[in-house]
Amino acid sequence: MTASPAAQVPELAELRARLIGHEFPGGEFSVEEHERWLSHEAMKSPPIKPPLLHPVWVLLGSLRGMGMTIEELVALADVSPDGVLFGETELEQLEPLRTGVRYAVSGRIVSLERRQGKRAGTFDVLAFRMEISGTGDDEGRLAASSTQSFLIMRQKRQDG
Amino acid sequence: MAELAAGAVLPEQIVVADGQSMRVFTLIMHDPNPVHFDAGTVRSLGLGEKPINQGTLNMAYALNAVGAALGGFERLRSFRCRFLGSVYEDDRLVAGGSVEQTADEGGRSSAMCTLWVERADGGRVLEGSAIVDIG
Repeated sequence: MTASPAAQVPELAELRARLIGHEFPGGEFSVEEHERWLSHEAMKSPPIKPPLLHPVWVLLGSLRGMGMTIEELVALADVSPDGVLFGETELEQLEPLRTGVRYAVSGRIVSLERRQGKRAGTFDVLAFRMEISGTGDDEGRLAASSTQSFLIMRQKRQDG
Repeated sequence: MAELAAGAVLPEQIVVADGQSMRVFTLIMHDPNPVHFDAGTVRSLGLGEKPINQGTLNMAYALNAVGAALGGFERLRSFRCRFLGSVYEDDRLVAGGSVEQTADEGGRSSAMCTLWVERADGGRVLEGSAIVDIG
């Protein structure tokens, strides 16, 4: 994502009322062994015993299974991906994710705040939380969660 | 597993943000954004001269400092980070951290580590923290 400011600044109260609590369609994902191998090599990971996955997969799996694209998510906030930057990421790992296991993902938008930056001007911080649970015999058992915030550039500061 | 006592320094991880890994991650993430593989797009957007590394890869480098110390990630409980700057293809990076404090709660011991990733020529691109079980 890059950061071109949105043309107009939408009204915050309306955005908050519409977005906070908005649930994603959700879905399922699994990770194949070749994806484990290739992704761990790309991450320069220290050795991890198969079938365990690097914890970055908590976020990767969440994004795979959330049931919508990032473009569709940020469109809810009246912005294109060009106007969005990654903010903060939080991961919680109750148990390591594994290859060959089918996981379910559910998620929703949890907060939206408007801020002013010296250089960035007006921007919104949109945060969403996603939970990864087991399926089948492990249905409902929480394995991991992630909370991700996006910085949505709304209006550049006008100097002078 | 390395001794993770308060004040311990995690082994630094030196990595190069190579273009092949960025392209693999584009496919792994199903991320269509060309800034991660097309220098022309990066230039046209005025963002620099080379493809921009995925934030998730920068995040992985920070986590690797913990994983290297622990001999894996099974003991990782949580991680958080914020992104401070862009990493470009061929940038040389150093990831590291230290143990800030340890705690005992409910029969479990944990360590809170601070983590960072910096360009080798200076400039921090990520700061974060992790909580890991140590006993």
